Amino acid sequence: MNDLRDALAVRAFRLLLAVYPRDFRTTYGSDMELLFAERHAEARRARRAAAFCARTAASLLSAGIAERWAPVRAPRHPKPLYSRGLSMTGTLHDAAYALRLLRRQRSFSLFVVLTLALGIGSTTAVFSVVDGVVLRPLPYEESDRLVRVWGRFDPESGFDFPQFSLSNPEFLDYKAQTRALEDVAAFARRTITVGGSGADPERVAAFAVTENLFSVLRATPSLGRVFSSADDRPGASPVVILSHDYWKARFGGDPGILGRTVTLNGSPVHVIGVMPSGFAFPRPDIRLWVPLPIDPVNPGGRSSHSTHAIGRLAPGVDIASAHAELKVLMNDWKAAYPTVHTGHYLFIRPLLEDVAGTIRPALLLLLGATAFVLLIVCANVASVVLARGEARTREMAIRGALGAGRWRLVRFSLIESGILAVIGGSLGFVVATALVRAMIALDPDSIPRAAELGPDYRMAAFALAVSALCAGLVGLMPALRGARAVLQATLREGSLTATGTARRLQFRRVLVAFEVGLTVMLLLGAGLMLRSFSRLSAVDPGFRAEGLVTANLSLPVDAYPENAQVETFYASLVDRLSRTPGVTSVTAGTTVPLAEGAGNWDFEIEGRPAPAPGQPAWSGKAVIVLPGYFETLGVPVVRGRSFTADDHGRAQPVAVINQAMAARYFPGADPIGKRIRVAGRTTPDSWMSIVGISGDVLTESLDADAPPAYHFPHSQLGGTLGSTSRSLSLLVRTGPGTPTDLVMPAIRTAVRELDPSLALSGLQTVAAVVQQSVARPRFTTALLTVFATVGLLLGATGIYGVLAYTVARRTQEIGIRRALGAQPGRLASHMLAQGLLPVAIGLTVGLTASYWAAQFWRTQLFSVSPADPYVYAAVTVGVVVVALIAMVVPVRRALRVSPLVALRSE
Amino acid sequence: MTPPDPRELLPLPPHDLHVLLALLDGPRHAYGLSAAVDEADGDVRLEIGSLYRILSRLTAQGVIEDFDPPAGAEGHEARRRYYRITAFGRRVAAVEAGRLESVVRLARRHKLLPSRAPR
Repeated sequence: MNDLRDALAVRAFRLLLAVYPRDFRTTYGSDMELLFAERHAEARRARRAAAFCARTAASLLSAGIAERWAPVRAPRHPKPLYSRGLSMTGTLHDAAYALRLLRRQRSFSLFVVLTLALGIGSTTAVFSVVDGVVLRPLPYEESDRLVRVWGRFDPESGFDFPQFSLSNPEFLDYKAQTRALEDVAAFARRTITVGGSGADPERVAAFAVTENLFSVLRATPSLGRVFSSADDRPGASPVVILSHDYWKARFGGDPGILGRTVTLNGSPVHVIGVMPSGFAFPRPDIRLWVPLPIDPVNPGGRSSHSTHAIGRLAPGVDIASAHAELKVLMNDWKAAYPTVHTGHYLFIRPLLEDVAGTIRPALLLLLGATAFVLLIVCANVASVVLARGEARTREMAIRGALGAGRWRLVRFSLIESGILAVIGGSLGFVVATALVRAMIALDPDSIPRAAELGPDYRMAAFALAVSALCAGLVGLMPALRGARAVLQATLREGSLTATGTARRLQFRRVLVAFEVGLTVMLLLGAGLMLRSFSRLSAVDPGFRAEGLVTANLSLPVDAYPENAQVETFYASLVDRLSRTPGVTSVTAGTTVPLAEGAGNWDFEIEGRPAPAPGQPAWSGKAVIVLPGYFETLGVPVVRGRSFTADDHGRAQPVAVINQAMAARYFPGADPIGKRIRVAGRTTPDSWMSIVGISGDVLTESLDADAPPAYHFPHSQLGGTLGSTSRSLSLLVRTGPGTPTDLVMPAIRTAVRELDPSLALSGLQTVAAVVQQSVARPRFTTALLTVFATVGLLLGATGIYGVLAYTVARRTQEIGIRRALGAQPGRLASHMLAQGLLPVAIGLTVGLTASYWAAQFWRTQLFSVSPADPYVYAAVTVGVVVVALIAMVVPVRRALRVSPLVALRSE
Repeated sequence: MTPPDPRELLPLPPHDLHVLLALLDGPRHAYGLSAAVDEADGDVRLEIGSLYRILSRLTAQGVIEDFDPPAGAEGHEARRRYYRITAFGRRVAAVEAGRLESVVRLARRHKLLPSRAPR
């Protein structure tokens, strides 16, 4: 009560001070207030407060008016000692004091700084990745005008590919017919063996590009020139452009590189240019660009989709107009080529969305998760600061009584939390830098534009903003909640009363419920992702990946001009490798499942009329194989037979189709004995008899269905295809006792012995290939699990802290109860129940919120419902168990205290 | 510039001399000052409102000066004002005391005050 009067009196005094002129107030106001406080206290002790206040009021009024009437004109003091608001001396003074306090309470400061660093660091790291990948514009001039051109197959076409490459005729037509795009360029992947120049031959990632690609991207070379229309024509002198990194790595950054000859796929090619550092279109690992000659007279099949395209919007045209124009064009194309364009059409998409689009949901999910972790960190820190605040109650109270208004206390609290946040934030920035590097290293291919990521001023600005937010949240909470209670409760001499601390304890329990809710959401997210990922990993790909090694080979046409030479080479290689100890079987094919995609080729079925216009064309994955393909891969042949050595060039051409193809194209009938051939082949020996049906293999990805596929022998390509296939992927199966590492050098040796100028690429285990195909979900799941664990640990710390504190405060009460004969068991269960209440509330809120929010990221989950009961149950049980564990120690400690000691305490 | 003449400030307004007298022993802050004055002469009550006007006036006249608290002060101690009398102020006090003494002598001659002769 009296404290209220005190506060009122000070307020009234300040009000009356306004009577004095401003100069006077500035000079003497603070001192007068100080004097008033002291004499008021004195008067109250002498029970003359009322009289004193009356006299003071009178004197203030009279002297104030007198001063206004006839000012004495005291010299204005240049440095007022006390001022409300943001005075530098006041703030600096508080800051120095705060620093001293923090240094004295090392464990508290350390705990707060470390947890803040953790929260700020993880949020900043994920933000940096989101910013670098999704928010920042690409490193091309006016990159928002660049669009990728894709083809789409709707189910109407017989396929379901939301995104597919184009065919050369489609590209040429679009380029010619569009007005919305000022130019369109095409590019296609190549793997090229770079030989000669002393170093070992190596196979590198390259792209063949039309000469206008560099002008579409508005990229200029750092050395030499880019392609011109002269280089694109068939029969032009071969030229190549190097990437900056490759120029440094392979050619030592030779400044005289222009005009030099390098050997690509066995042929000499001139280097005409080097691109600047940082330019790596379309993939970061690209080493060189070669021309992509497209003969306008003979561009290739309209259904042979092997080309990618990128365009730039014409000036003043927006993407909506481009979309509209494309729609009209597609209608025209459908009319002109009904077989090809039923359910199949082109669409365009901005380049940035193309690059970042698929990972954006995962990144946003991770950003949400780190925001949760940050909130939990803030709640923990606020809770700890609140607890500590009580130790400085007396000091706060005196400050308050002596006129330090609420703003002053709040300001001190903010300065204190500001210092902690600045230190924590700086540490967090370092943590964030390391985390970003770790995230990229965890899975380099999962994060697009990884080369562009790194510490920069945007990341620092974000860390600063988050630190300020933390400082605000943490600083305001205790000051607002605690300050008033502190003043009222403790101006009385002696003990801390129940009122203020009880209210603060209640608030801390609310914080615990809040933390638990957030942790539950994190755990549920991680749990669902884990379940989804384990389901994905458990998918049967249709073959046996363990113990299998693969490598890609390509025979240059100059060294192996004849089909027979190609066949002989591969036969010798297979023979040589089969005799290597530890190897069970060797084969090769044009596809390794789950590695880079295989081509879709149209086919015809004998005796069936080709699809009418308006009907989808028949198409399937064409896989050219050596004998033993199915056996080596471990793919069952469910009907008929697989290939043998008898299926050679002079024998009847055969094929093996998979179950998906049988089901789609031969429903209800037996395909064995029917004949198919690659579309466009006309010779009688191009018909292949179907001799077997193989099991489905997931060649594309683990979460998609197996596509229809037909396999035919490499040895019979002369008839069935008219030309051989020079590029094959080796598949080597090792015996059960042999680790795959031992076989890889043997493969290299075998190839080198047969032809030292050949280079292998992609030498790895097939198990690694399978792992790689689920790299993105694994990345997201791993990070989410880490965040959830951090959240759980922090939540447990928070619960422990609050409960330990509660129990410590009630030691006396517990002692009394024990002395009066209460059973320890009942006491324990009572305390546990009390502690579990905020946990239960947080759990309920968290589960409900998660259920509601999970609908939004269904796309990230594979065959797991967002309301999966097992995960929900596991999280509930887990949280309750962890909470109980966190409570065990304080409860046991309380019960172990002897009642006498407890009674005597406090 | 001629130094100010202390006699120009005479007569001092009512309680100024009490303040100066309290400061003769040494510098004080406001609370100490009002306590000292109260102790010296219980009839003189320096209310807050008027006290600071006095201080302000005396400071303007150069009779007293205020200064920062000694180094090492903490908390609200660091924000107090301390006041001390200046050399000029001492002369003013002396002159005022002299004036008062001559008034007292006059009062004694007119028997208003008992003479100082021992009884």
